[in-house]
Formats: sequence, structure tokens, C-alpha cells
Amino acid sequence: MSQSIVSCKDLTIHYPESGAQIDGVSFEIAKGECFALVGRSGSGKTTITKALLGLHHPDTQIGGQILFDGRDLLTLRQKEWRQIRGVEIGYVSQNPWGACDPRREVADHIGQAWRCQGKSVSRRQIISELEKIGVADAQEKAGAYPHQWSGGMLQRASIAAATAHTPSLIIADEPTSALDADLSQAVLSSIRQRSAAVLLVSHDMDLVMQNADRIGVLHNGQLVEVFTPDQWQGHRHHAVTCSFLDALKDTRRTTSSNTQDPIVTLKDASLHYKGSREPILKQVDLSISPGEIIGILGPSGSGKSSLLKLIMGLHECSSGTMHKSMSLTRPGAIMPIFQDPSASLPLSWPVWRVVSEPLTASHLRRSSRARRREAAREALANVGLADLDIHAKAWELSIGQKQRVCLSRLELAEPELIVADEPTSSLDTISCQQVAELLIRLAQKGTAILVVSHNEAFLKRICDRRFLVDPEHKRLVAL
Amino acid sequence: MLLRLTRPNEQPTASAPARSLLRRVWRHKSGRIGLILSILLVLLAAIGYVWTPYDPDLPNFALAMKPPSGTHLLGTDEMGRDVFSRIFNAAHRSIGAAFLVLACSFLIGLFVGILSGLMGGLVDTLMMRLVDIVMALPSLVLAFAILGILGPGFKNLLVALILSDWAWYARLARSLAIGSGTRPDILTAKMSGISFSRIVLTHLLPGIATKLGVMATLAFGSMIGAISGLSFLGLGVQPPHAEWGAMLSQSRLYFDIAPWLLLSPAIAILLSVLSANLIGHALRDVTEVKKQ
Amino acid sequence: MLAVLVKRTIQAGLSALAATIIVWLILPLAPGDPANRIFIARGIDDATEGQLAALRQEMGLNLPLPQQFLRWFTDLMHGDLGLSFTTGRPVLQDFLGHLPPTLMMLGLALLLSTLATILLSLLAVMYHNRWPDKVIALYTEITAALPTFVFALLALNYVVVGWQFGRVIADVSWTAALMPAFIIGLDRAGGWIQLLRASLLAEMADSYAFVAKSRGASDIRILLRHALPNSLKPLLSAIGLSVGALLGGAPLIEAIFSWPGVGSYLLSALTARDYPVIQAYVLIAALGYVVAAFLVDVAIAMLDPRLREVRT
Repeated sequence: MSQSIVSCKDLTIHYPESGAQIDGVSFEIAKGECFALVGRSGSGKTTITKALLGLHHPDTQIGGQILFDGRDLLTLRQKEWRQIRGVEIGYVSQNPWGACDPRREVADHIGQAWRCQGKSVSRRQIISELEKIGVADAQEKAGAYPHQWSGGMLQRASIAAATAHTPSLIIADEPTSALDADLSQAVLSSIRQRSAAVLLVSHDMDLVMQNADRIGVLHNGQLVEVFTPDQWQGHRHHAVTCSFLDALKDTRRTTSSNTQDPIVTLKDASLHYKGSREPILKQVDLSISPGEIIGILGPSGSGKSSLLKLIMGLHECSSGTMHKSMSLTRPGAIMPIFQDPSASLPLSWPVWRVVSEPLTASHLRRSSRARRREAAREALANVGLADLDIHAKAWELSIGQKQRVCLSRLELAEPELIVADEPTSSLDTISCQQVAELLIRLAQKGTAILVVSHNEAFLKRICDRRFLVDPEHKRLVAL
Repeated sequence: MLLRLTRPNEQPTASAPARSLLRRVWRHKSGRIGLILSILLVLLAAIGYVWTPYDPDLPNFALAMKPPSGTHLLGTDEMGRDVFSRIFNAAHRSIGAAFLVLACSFLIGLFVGILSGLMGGLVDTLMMRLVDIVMALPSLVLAFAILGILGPGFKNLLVALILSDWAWYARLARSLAIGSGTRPDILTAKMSGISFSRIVLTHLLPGIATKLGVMATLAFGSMIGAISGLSFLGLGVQPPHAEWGAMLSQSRLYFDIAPWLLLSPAIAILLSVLSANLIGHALRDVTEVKKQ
Repeated sequence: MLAVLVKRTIQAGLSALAATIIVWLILPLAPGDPANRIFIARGIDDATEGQLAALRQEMGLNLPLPQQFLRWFTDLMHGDLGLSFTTGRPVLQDFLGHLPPTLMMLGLALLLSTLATILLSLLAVMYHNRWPDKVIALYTEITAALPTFVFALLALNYVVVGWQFGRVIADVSWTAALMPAFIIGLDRAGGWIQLLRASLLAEMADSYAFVAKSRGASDIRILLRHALPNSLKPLLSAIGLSVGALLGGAPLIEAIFSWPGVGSYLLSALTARDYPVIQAYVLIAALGYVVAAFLVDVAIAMLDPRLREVRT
């Protein structure tokens, strides 16, 4: 028992308005251990981290016991809490920019760790902390504002602040989800270096498997399983765990040999913004055939979305040629999916109306409401939402459901080509997987799909061919 | 499994979720109070338009300045007119005028704003210059100028207020309509071959009208304030007709001996603005679908 | 950044000028004989044809409209806003004479309500959902449901006259301005508190506030050091808009408090149909609004490092 730094016993957390959030969760974190909590959004991960920091809503009812280094955290008063937070328990948040007051210098953000404990800190000390954690030009950058920093560096600066008083536990809430994949490992390493024990909350299974000593799976407020990374194969896991572990499996589909003629061909195409001489992308050579999934990977702002707009016919290429087959000229032949499903649906419409909207296109015969509802039901069943009340309003749905509703709507337009712009970036791991499966199913029916994303793992799983946007040369490079 | 969002101020209930706008406002705590209050007020205004206990405009100097009693619920004014009848009779004028001005501003703003946002180019530039010019004048200043030149009167008051109010709605509607061509939902509809007019009617118009509607509901208070304020100064409703602001203006001379003259119209104004504010807040809460 | 501000302000100034021109146009275009209207303004209801002709000659009313406009506009550019129909004195001079009392009262009202807003909003957020917050919420609901002039009327009659609290005076001094400024300030503060309280609460729920708490910062420290500076932008915009509302509402406010400022001056001009005065008021109110909006823009830009940086 003395070996564990945190010991949660039968933790129960109720919100007075929405009922139980955490229902009898028990776990322990040993000194020096990295314990990971995984779960879908809404499974209660954040609720637990808030309770561990004593920062839950004052109306929340908490039962059970949280022992931290032998003390019962749930009996502490605010004043005592303030001596634990930041000193004995550090916290690293998800979004490094969100962690900083946008109107204060980064040096102020780091210095806060000392000043709000009533200690003074010199600028030189702050700069040396930054240098220790690997920030180049710390002297100069300390005086800059958060928005002038890169995400990876700022996250390191936040880690420096969180570990200022060498806490015995660090709580890291999705610390890498706002960062590019190649930075994740480095950031997590600096967290591990600077603290004894880590509670890592994440849904990035790759990262968790590489770093955690033990993994706890949360589902609907219950801890359904705890396992170690080396147990992931060969053991019988809980169904929820399996769906997370599936994300790790290399389920890349076998590339179908494509003999069919391409439906879109770009030859030496260049793209410009209106009125600008600088090209966004140049010398693009790309052909898309039916049934093929093509992925384009690249940092944000690299012109991926503009390429999709070109293919949708919303832009013209400034040089080079784009050839589209005749089958793409009919309305509904090219259909888009977007990043934010909430913005892609008219939220005040009932679901059946959203899904069957393509049937009201002006080139089609008018179909009756009964017919549209029937079509909507079928289309929803295809995306695994057969149980959904078709009279529910779109705003009532969860974000994952919304994206699937978007997919079922798109299917009713019977597209030849789907252009997807970051279709998974607002979804959690499991919704992400559902979208992947649906896209693969559509491709097997012969629809060509062009996906743009910065989620490399996702593209690896579903794509036949992948390209990378090279931002320096503004060109597409085949992977 | 259907995950429903629970919103603040909206009790999760076992019954079917409230889906129509009116029902959602009704489920909202302050919205329900506002709805009940406003229905009562509209009803009273309608009755007061056709029938009042006493003739609201007929002086009877023998009965001047009587305090509230069984026969005169709110007492009588300096000309012996029944204050209750006057408040009652003035309701349709005060509430009706505010409603009329807001409805006209809403419709003009909606039309001009959407047209301007969708057409762009010269039409947009000209319209927005006009909006800028109207909005360069603080509220009421244009109304004062128009009334000063056209002369006082109820009709001129309405014209003056509409002319100075529509621009706010036009600007909001335009800001929502402009660039709507790249909105994901509209782009999807466009790509699936839905006609332009259908997209405007089903995607663009309802959303913009709702936002403008919330704005108009929340502006009800300041509109009642403007109408009664201008009437208070003698620029609006002319005697002998009753209007809450005009009644306030006559009553302040007699505050020492007849405080009910001041209090009754003030409370009438308070209740009508309060009910609009309650509904406005409920509408705003209910229509703001928060992003997850 | 500065260039953007200056450009925006010049544009707003031009709009104000255009508004004034449109208001000028209403007079010659309105139905009825302008000369006759002027006589009515001077209290002469039955002017003879000879008198009318003489006046038209004198005022250039029989010139074609563009020429009349040119005359008026050149005068305007030279700072000549014409002569009052009723008093015959230059309008500008009269205005400048009435301006100090108005600025005094409005300035004091803005100051008092800004102070009250910041204090009460901080209090409401510190005691969120407890009784001080609820009392403040009730107060803001009441001010929101009462038009400014009704609130002023009730406060004046009940608190000042009824309870002998303060005194009603007509002399112009800072002490005399205090009472009306306090009442107007209290009314304004209601709406601003709703705004500031909401944005303070939003800031306190922001992720940076959570991170600061996780470092051991107290709520008050976050509130004062982070949330308040970050919440000032909407408040500043509201203050800018309020300057306009107060300029527009000045006749009403000054009528209630018998305050001898530009509002009272306009009111007497309105009843006398003294058009040059009305036009001058439109111009001055619009320019005052432009200046207020400019100051607010500058203040907002100075508060926000992300905007400040663009300038360099």
C-alpha cells in the first residue's frame, strides 16, 4: 500500500443535473508508474482528473475515497488543496495554447507556477527552466506571446511550469492530441523525465501502448478493465477494450488492382488564391479511379482543402489541366464530407429530412415524404444507425452520430467520387473507426474516395495510395 | 443508443424531447413565465382596444385625482379620467407600435441583408453604405431629426423608428448570408444538386430569421422605451389619446399628491418589457446549439 | 493596426457627414413651403406673401436645390452651422454653450457606471450562484426591464424627492451633476454587468483558468489578473455604444432632470421646429459617436497583444 502514490477506492461522482458520471471506480497508481486511462469521449476520464485536482464543480457529489500519499483528498479544504495543486500534483492540459492566457507573455505563464504559490521567481530562472526542457532561444522566446509559439514548444513550456515544484504525480489530459504525431513522443518523454508518477489520459492507443505501464479502460463511468501493454495480444479483453485495440491492428485493406479508367485526372495542375501570384500547390499529377481510396497527408494550411475544392469544381486550376469523366457531370456525382459534422448539418431539421435531402434535388422527380422517410431509414441502417429515431432533431445527436448521418446522406446522392476534408478530426477513436469502415464499404461499392487528413494512422488504414503535401515545395509527394 | 444533449435550464425528462421551438421555450423556466405573461398582456391589449370600464379619453373634472378605490381600480388622473381604463386602452398602442416597428425592421433587414449578402458586388456596396450611414447616427438621434422635421405624431413616430432601426437587422442578416456559399451544409446541398432557391429557402432563411427574431425579441424593451420616451416628450402619441409614456409625462407634475399616476404606467412598461426579455433569453438559450 | 483604425474612423466620419446631408435634404423635400415653416417656427402663423418672398430671398430658398446645398455645405465646412430660426443667433455658438453641462453629466455617468459595473460584476462572479450574485441579477433584470427614462423618473421621484435623498437643483456644477449622473449610471450599469459577468464567467471556465487553478492559483488571482483584462473588450464596445445611446437620449434625460444641456436645447428647437438646430444636433451627435467609437477601438487594440503586434 505504501508503494502507491494514488489510491482511488470505489470513487463515485454524481452531477446533480445529469446523474452519475463515475460509478464505483477503483485503481491505484504506484510511485514512478505511468498509468493510462483510455475511454471514449464522455466516458468520465476528465471527470476523474478534475476530482484528483479537487477542481470538480462545487455541486458535484463525490463518494468513495481518493488517497494521495496517505491523505484523503476528498476531505481537504480549498486552502489545503492549493498547497497540493501545482506542488504535489502537476497538470498538463490538452491544448498548449488554451493553457495560456493569450494576453500574457509565455514567461508570465511559466512564472505563474511560482507566483501563485507565493514564491518569487526571476526571469533568468524561467529562462533556464525553458532551456532545460529544450527550448532554443529561450531568452528571446520567453517574452513572446503564446500565439507566436509552436504547439510542441509551448507544450514543453507548460510542462516546465507543471513540474516546477517536482510534483510526485503529473496528470496529463490528452497532452499530445493538439500536436503533430512526430512531436507526441518527445513531449511525453519530457513529462516522464520530470515527474515520478504519471496519470496519462488519452485515446491515442499508439502512444498509450508505448508509454504506459498499465492501462485502465473507462466505459460509461466504470473501469471495465486494467491491463499491461504486453497483455494486449492473446488475452480475452472486454469488448470496449477490443474496439480500442482494433485501432492498433494493421488492417490495411489489400489494394485492388485498378483496371478501370480514372474518373479524375490532374496533369501538372497548379492552384492559386484569387489575386495572389504565389501558388498554393503546383505541378499536381493525380488520377483517381473508381473504388479507390486516396489519402493526402499534410500540415494544416498546406493547400489540401484547396485541392479538394478544385476537384469539386469550386476553383479553377491556374495552369495545367483537370479532366473529369462524363459520369461526374451529373449533380450529386461528387459529394463532400467535412471536418465538423455539426456545421455540415442543418441542426434544426429532423434526421430523416437531413438524410433524404439529396432526393429533393431539382434534377430528380419529386418524392413524397413517406418515400423520403423510408429512404432515410434504409440509409441510416447502412451506417449502423437503424435504431435512431428519424424524427429526432439533428442537434440531439452525438458528434459521432452526426458524422454518420452525414455519410448516410451522402450515400443517397449516389456519388461517384467522395471528397473528405479531415472527416475524423473532431471524432474520438471509436467513431473514427466507424467512419473508416463506412468509407471502405463505399469504396468496395465502386465509389472513388479522396481523403485529406493529418491523421496518418487513419490514412494508412484505409487508403490504397497516399500522398504527402510538401509545404516547402508546395508539391504532392507519393508515399 | 441515442445520446441526447442536455442543455442548461432544460430539465432532462422521460417524455419525448421538446422539438418545436415554441415547446422548447415553454420548457425553459423563464421562457414559460415570459410566454404566460405576454399572452396575458396581448389579451388585455386586445380587450382594451374594444372595451374599457370607462371612456379612457373623456374628462370628468368632478372626479379628478381620486386615489385607487373599488370603482376606480387605479384611481383617476388630473382630468378625472379612469387610470385603469387608460392603461388598458394604451396597451394596444404601446405594445402594438413596438411590435409593428420591430416586425417592419425585421422584414426589411432580412430582405435587404440576405439580398445584399447573396448578390455581393455593387448592390452589396450600396446597401451597406446606406446601412453605415443610418448606423453612424446614435439610436434616437435620427428619430429626433425625422420627428423634428416631419412634426410630432404617432405615424411619424413609427416611420422615424423604422427608418432608424432596420439597419441593425440588415447588417446582421448580411453578415450571416455573406460567405454562406462555403458553409459545409450549403456546399453539400449544392453538390447534391439542390436548386439555389431551395437552398436559400431551406438552409439560409430559417437560420437567419431565427437569429434576427431573437434580436428583435430582445430589442422589444428598448423599442418600448423609445416609443414611450418620445411620447413622454410629446413627440409621439398626441392627447387626448392614452400612451404609457405620455401618461408618465402628465403624471410627474402631480407626484406629490397622486403617486399612482406615475406608478401605473411604469409598472405596465416594466411588465411588458420583462415578458419580452424573458422570452428573448429563453429563445437565445434554446436556439444557440452549442458545439460539442 | 493604426492605419486600419484611422481608415475605419475616416469612413465612419464620412458616414456621419452623409447622414447629416440626408437629414438636411428632408427639409426642402418635405411637403409644404419651407419659408412658411420658418415663419411658423418664429411664431408667425399668417405670414403675408410679401414676407414669404423676402424670407426666400434672404435665405436663398428660391435658388435651385443643388445651389442651396452648395451654400449650406460650404458654410458647414467653414464651421458655420447657420442661424437659429427662433433666436437668430449662430447655432454653433449656442451648441457650444450648452455642451459643457451635458458632457459633465454624461462623463460622470459613464465613469460611475464603469466603476459600478466592474465592482458588482467581480462580486457576482466571486459569489457565483450565491445571494450577492442573485441580488445583483435581480437589479440587472429590473434595469433591463425599465427604459432609462422610466428608471430615472422613478428614482428621481421616489428616492430623491420622496425620501428627501439629495436635492433637485438646476444650477450647473459637479455636485449638481452627481445625482442625475448616479441615476443614469446605475441604469447603464445593469446591462453592462450582465455582459461583463457573462464574459468573466466564460473566462473563468476557460482552459487557461483551469490550468492556473491546477498550479494552485486562487480564484481571486485568476479573476483579477487574467479574467478581468480578458473580459474588457465587450465592455468597452458596450461603453462606446452607450455614448451614442446617451447622446441620443440626452433630450429625454435632461428633460427629466431639468438639466440645461444640449438635450434641452434640442428639445426647445424640436417644439419650435428650429431646423438648423436639429441638423446641427445630428451632426454633433454623429461626430461624438465617431470619436467614442475610435477611442474604444484604440483601447481594445492596446489591450490585445495579438492586435498590437500587427502594427509593428
